[in-house]
Amino acid sequence: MPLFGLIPLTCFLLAFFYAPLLIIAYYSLYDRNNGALTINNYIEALTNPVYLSVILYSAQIAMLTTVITLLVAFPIAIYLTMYASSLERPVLLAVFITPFWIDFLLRAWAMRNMLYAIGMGEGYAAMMFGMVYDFLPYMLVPLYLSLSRLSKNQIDAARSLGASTGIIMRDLIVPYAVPGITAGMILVFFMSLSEFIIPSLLGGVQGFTMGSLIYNLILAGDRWEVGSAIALLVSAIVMALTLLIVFRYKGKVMLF
Amino acid sequence: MEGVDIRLEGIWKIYGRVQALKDVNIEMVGGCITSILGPSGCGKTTLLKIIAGLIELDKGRVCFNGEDYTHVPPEKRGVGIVFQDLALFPHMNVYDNIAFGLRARRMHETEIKDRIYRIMAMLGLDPREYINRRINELSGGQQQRVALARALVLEPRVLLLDEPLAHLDYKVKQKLLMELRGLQRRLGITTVYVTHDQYEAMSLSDYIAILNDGKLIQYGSPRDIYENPENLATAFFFGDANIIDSQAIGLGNNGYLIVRFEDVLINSIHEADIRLEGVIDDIIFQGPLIRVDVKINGNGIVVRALTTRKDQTAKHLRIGDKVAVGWKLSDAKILRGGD
Repeated sequence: MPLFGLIPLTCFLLAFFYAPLLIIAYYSLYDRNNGALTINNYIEALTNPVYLSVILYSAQIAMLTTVITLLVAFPIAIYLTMYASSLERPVLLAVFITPFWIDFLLRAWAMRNMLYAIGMGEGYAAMMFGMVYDFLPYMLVPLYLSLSRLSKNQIDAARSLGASTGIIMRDLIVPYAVPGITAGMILVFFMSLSEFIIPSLLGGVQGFTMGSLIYNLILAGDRWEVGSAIALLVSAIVMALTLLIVFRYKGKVMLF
Repeated sequence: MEGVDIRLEGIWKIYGRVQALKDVNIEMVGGCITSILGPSGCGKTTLLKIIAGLIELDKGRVCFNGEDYTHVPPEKRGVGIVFQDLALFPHMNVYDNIAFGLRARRMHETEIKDRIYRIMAMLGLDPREYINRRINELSGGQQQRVALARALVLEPRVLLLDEPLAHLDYKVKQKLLMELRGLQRRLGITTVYVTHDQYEAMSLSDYIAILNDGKLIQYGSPRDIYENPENLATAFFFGDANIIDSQAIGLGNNGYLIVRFEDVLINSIHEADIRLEGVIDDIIFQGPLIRVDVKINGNGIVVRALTTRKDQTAKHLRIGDKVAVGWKLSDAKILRGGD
């Protein structure tokens, strides 16, 4: 009986969320020569060295973005939770969050103009800058939330017990930050992996990532069935990785 | 063991425009429990953290045994502190919590284990049962003991307690309060206990410092302060007292009359120097004691008296009864408003 409550939500998700995915799945199995079903598109997606290298290049960009975002967000989160006064905190949070009320495309375009104005132009560095800037809140917010569970008194207690800054970092701050770090890394890595706008607006020739590849295959190159296969393959890998991380660290990371 | 004397000299602490502490001077006798008592926001926790070295003071000196400790870092003061929220480390088990300070001091693991077993046994926590427990698997009272153990295992010369019993049930609180008293006696460690609860302060302390609005307003033994409040704030805050405008009862314009509830006579009125007629407004049963509120005829002032449950005549009092109340002049104290 209680499962009846799930029916409307399930129907809604099926109709508006899974139906498009099913259509893409159908595309990916479509044989353009005879209209029959085939797995050839998947074979091509996996064996064409160009596709593979583009995917690996995207993964490398995503990884670098994730690491830089973490390095930038960590000190900000520590400052926000431990040093900022109760007046500073909301102001600073707003400073980091309000730009994201502006449309994503506009922001990327504005960023491009700014980078040109300061002579940075487009390229790898400009693209990384744009990626880190855009994904920072997704790292900062979970980090901030998990660090705000650590109280000033806990730090004071540790200090009074004789702990150095290094010990406080290792035994208190990092363990408290870990759930936020994992959540932030999952979010930033997978979002930047499939990011398309920033690399194409800011990356120049180095902005040819997986997003551009799929875009080209589906919209520009008329190879939409291979594009669909790549998109689904990468989604499957992403999903498997997420589940792996979530289950691997369950109970170990989300300790308290 | 002789405890360390703590001397606070002219302590000032200012946050922006707020003066949290204004020229606080206290001499805390070594080996004794001194409570810092005051309403929330009076600066008592700030003062405790200044003794611990966790907050820098703006002016003044903190001396341990006459030696200037004002700029000694917290870990070198030999001070153990237990916070109001306990500030335990919930991602570690009981053992690792207590071991934290010892490990930070790079003590050998075998000695750490030895010390932890000893301190846990002393605090009534069976080590075999509890060392592997997580903090959130413990009751409030047990967490309290772990926090105490974590501070005491370092054998500090001074123990600082910031309302450590505030969140506990009445019974657990009473039990721990008495244990704390026994423990402190045995260790002879100078203890500073911050609280807003006058009964905790009274039953625990050798000396009490009353803080109000960042200022020390009275210092002395609990009995001393109870019997001789030096100002209205103390009279109001420490114990229950009738604070009566002397003009309102025709005693001239001297200020305020302070009469403890239990010093108000309601039956043996012939012993009283001051007598007032009134009507019983309310009778409140408090267990061993019964509070009788009497509304004085003419001015509407309510005078509160305490009688005991055993008092036979008080048994017959009812709300609405006409009674006479009074007190001996020796039991009343007159304070001026500005005090």
